[in-house]
Amino acid sequence: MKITPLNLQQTLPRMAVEGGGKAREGGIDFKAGLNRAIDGLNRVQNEADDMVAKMVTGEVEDIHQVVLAVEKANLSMQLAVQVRNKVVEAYQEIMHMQV
Amino acid sequence: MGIFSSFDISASGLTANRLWMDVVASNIANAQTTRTPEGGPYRRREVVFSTRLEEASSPDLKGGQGVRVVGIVEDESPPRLVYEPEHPDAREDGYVEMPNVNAVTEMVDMLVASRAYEANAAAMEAAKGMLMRALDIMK
Repeated sequence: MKITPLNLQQTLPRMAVEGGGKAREGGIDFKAGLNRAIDGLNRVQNEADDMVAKMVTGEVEDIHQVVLAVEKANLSMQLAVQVRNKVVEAYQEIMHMQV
Repeated sequence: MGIFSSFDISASGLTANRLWMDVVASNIANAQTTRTPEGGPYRRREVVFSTRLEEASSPDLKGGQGVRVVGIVEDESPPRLVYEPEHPDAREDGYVEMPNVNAVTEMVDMLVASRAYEANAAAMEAAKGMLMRALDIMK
């Protein structure tokens, strides 16, 4: 079995880029990702709103379509809340860190 | 929305089975109908289901196929003949052409449609349970 030695010239520049707050190669920028997630959440909530409005005005043929839209909105919101909880938790953790 | 594709598939099943229920209801309601705009007695209707590839799921996975009703066809079997000469729609020989609807068949179809709707609702609930369990991991 041949063991290839670690090539520092190749490894170090990549680590420097990753630590620089920029997007990794092939990854997405955190800010852009967050914005897109919030946009998606907003769209799902609006869809649920539209469906409920359509139901009370009698435009919807199937009740389950309304239930589906509301359920999707509910689950997306719960996921977003969980992610937010995790972010706040991480922030608190860092704030309470003894330097 | 990849995580909701199972919801969309179950929803397509709910829509299809509700439409089937409509057709069965129409068959039962018109079991004695001897006049139609096309002439002749009412003909029993049947739904034709087909798979539908969900837009959300990736096509190369071959999974995530919903269902949709591609057509409602008429049963071509001959009408039921009942001897009733005083009926306004009776033929010259005294027989009345009644719809080719069999109440027992319709009852069975109705039960199948109703149970299939329940099964799709249960599948949707199970998918929701899976997502909720995944969220519980984060807590």
